[in-house]
Amino acid sequence: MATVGALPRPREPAGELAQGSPVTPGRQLRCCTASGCRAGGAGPLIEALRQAQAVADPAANGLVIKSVGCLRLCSRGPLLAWDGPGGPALFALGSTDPGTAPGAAIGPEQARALVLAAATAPGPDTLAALDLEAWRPQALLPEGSPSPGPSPVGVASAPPPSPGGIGLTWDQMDLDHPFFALQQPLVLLHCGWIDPDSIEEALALGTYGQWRRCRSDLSPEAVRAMVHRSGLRGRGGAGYPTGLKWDTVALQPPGPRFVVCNADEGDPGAFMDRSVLEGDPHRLLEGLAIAAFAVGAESGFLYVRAEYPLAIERLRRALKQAHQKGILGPGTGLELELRVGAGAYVCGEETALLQSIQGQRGQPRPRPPYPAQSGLWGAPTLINNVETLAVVPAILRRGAEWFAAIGTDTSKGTKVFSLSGAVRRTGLVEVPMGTSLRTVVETMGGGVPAAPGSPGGGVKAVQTGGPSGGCIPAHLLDTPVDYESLQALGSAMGSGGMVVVGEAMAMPELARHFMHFSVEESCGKCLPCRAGTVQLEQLLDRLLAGLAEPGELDQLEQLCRMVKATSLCGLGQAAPNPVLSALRHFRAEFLAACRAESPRAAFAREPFPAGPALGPLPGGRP
Amino acid sequence: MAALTLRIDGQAVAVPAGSSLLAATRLAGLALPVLCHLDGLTPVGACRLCLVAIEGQSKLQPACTSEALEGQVVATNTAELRELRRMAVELFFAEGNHVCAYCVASGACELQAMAVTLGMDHSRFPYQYPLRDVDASHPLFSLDANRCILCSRCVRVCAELEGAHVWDIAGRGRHCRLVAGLDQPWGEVDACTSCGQCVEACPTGALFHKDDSTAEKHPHPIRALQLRRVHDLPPRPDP
Amino acid sequence: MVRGEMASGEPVPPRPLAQAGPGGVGADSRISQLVADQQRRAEGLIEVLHRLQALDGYLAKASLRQVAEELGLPLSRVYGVASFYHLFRLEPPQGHRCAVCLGSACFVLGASRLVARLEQRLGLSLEPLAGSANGPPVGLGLPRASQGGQPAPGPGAPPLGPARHPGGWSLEPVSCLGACGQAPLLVLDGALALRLPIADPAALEARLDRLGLPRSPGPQAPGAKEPGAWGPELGLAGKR
Repeated sequence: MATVGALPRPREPAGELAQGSPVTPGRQLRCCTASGCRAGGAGPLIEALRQAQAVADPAANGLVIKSVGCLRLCSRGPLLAWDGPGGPALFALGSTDPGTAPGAAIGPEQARALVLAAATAPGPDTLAALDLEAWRPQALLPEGSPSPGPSPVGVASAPPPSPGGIGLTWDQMDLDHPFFALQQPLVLLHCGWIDPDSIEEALALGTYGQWRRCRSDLSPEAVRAMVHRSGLRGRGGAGYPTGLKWDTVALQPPGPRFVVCNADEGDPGAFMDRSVLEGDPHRLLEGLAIAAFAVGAESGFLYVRAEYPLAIERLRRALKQAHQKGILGPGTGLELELRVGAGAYVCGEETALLQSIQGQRGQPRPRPPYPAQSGLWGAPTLINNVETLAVVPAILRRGAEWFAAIGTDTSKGTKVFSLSGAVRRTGLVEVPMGTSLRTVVETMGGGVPAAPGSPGGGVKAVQTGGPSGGCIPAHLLDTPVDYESLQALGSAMGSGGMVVVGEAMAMPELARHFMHFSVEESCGKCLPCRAGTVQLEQLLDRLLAGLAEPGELDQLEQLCRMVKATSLCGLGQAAPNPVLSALRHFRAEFLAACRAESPRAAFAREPFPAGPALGPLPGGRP
Repeated sequence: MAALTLRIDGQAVAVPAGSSLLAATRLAGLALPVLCHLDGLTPVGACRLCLVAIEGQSKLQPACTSEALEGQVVATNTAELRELRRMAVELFFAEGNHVCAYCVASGACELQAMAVTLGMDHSRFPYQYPLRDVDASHPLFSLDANRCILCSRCVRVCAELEGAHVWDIAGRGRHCRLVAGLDQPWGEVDACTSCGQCVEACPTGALFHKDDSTAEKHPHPIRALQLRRVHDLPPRPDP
Repeated sequence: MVRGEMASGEPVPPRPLAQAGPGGVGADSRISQLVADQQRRAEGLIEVLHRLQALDGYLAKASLRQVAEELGLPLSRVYGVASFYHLFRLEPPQGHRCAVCLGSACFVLGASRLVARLEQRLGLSLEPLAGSANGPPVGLGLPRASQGGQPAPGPGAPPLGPARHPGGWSLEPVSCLGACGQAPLLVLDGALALRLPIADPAALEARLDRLGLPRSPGPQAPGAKEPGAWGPELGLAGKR
């Protein structure tokens, strides 16, 4: 697939609305207003640009200014993509004061200059040369300020001398950089191109076309067979074959059944699903509708975590629009409803999620029976993750074989990762399965910058799979990203969070961080997770305080295995994983954190500390 | 009625279809430790003491919520399971404030008996000494949350058998606790019928009769039998 | 503390309404409307609680009682649900809410050092989370290595209470907000403060000053505030 940077112009058959498509006018500014850029002031920025266009000269009238979903390079937000002659091009607005949201600091004159340049620039280079400082509100024009050209992507240009107030930087991002060039968007195909609040734009690019095709041309069996053949596996973490799951639900005895979209993306450091919800909600709705058709469900739910207010707002609007257009809702055989969580990580577990949809405490129950057999109100229920559902329309459109040709033997298609932590370029990347971690973290992400004043730099480990996953040390970075390879290393694909850890971070401390997360998010129903994680955190506390003896590492591992083997749900069973994988790959750090074994302890060592700690011994490690 | 056969700890046993693995184990004449299970109430699989190993499955399964299936080969008493159960009981003791010597239920406490059965004479985990309340506002009974193991038997017996649903679990994780009504003093909850079934269902000394003192709580003489009859025995064939 | 025999801090909610259900004496018609919006279905409980909290800023016991009665649910079940979810608040909000993101990305970039500074400034402890009534375990008087090595109060110190500040500040953790690209961050009265310069102590102090955080525990007027970038829809806003 030919790519023009990260954001290949969508090449899907545009369908019946190809003529006069609102998506490809002559010139437009696409402003990312997803949560990341919104936090950088994208809201006030787009407002300022629209106001500037209203008062600018008529030359600016031809410019379309629209709000779009994630433009990938979140660390540089707010981002603006420009379409025009020689385009597309991507620009980042920055401020000389790291604490100020750049989008909120732009003055009316600066906004006007930007709009005019975007409307008239003969090419991206002209727009890149725009000097926002010259239009700085109530500031003297800095003499001979250098004209900023394209800067290395992701690296802020040196701020110009600041004569007071807040200075703005304006940098062009290099779309040929691997961060963009190596991406292969399937799930995020339209994300960043369309206005998520406009169903017309989604329709113009063919969204809901496959849902229509299902109802007119395809049988549920044919749809399931296609998903089967595509080799698609669940993107929520476990990697269960999606086609198999659909068959299980479809083949239950006749009666009502439900579909549920799990949008309770709770892994810290993961924001892929949020980007789909915020950037292309109609695509998700289409995927969910197709799933409902394939399993014979007439109603469904989208369960979104309350921490994503923008995603909820956009999804609500999308649902309403689809109802108004008669695409979903009465008369179409499918009723979808939005349910909002209330701050419980455990509700990402499917049985807990079903409890929460039914207005209960989000506590998991033992499986079997699986939700596919007995879910919402006892009816067979299909639960799929956002990314899984969002890729289904593409499989139907392009064919199962096309999808199966991407990725590795066991893991097909692409995976969206949210790259964050100590890495230079943070943001969203969608790459084919089987891409190596090194490619993602170093080539695309740029590795870890050296800390000020320290000689070192570089990646120490990559944490994948959140609190259920583990860390992969730097020397194993050539591992291909697929379900089996990551599992073999004691980590997990998880939902796609990739937190890069620099040399400065002590691994026992990271293990304790995740254990603390599990302690706080345990639902409290089963004993090992409720009480065992607390004890594990305290053992790690002792270790970090220099109070633990080397023998206690065995105790730590023993309790980890107990919690893993006996907890009720996936949260508890996976809670020890970050500790176990850190012990496996960085045991030396744990040993170094221990104090020397006391003669008494060596004489009568017990598998667990017998009582509260007394504090560090004289001469012990602080 | 359909019957099925399976092997439990090497012993062949025939059980009515639809039986739980726990019922099957008992029919085989074997004992399984349970704390959150009470015959007659919906099983929840929360205490994790009745976990068993089923051949061909990598994960241990709770016998109380798992259905017995034809031809299953089940192990209930391996060395691994014994060690896991011992650790679980240690965790129970360490997370609450359990002092047998002063407890109203000493001698009739299922947690205490479990510790004895599993050979747990002390906890290798540090005690947490949580700050917990005592609620003596009810005229007949009291709740000492220090002894509560969150088995939710009282919650279920009150909701499922008495239909009053006075109790529920509030909070999350280690902050979970038993509450009456809207986290009110028990004596002020109008829904309570003072039937005392929660006291009978409580495996420890958390819920007790006010006039009982140390080691004076005794199980109801026939309640357990009545409940088991409701739940475990196969329905009588129609005449 | 033996409840029912001595006064507990929590006011006892009013006795049941004379007539339960919509239109009952003393019934709050707003709540009746919220329940009606959910077609009086029990599964709508969480949505009702969300909207109720949006109206009042928290879930008062009297309101929970009415919700339970109008949905036909046991009181304890409603309380169980309200206390399970972190975003539901059972106590009136403090004047200012400071929530620190403890997601992995923020953590890797040093959020624990930020927490230590905030705890020192506000004189509050981040733990326990809202919804806990029993307080933290007091068994282990260990220094927390992640908090800059400051010794935690020993067993003799008063238990760490709910995080409250005489000047009306509260300090709480917030789960990952998915703004990891701008980590590390905190949420002040619903507005995000981004890219906090944790590596540079002086810059961090200046930044916290500008955010209006008091320099030390004790009542004082907050200073000028930096404009926030995100609205209060997160449910993390303070009392308006």
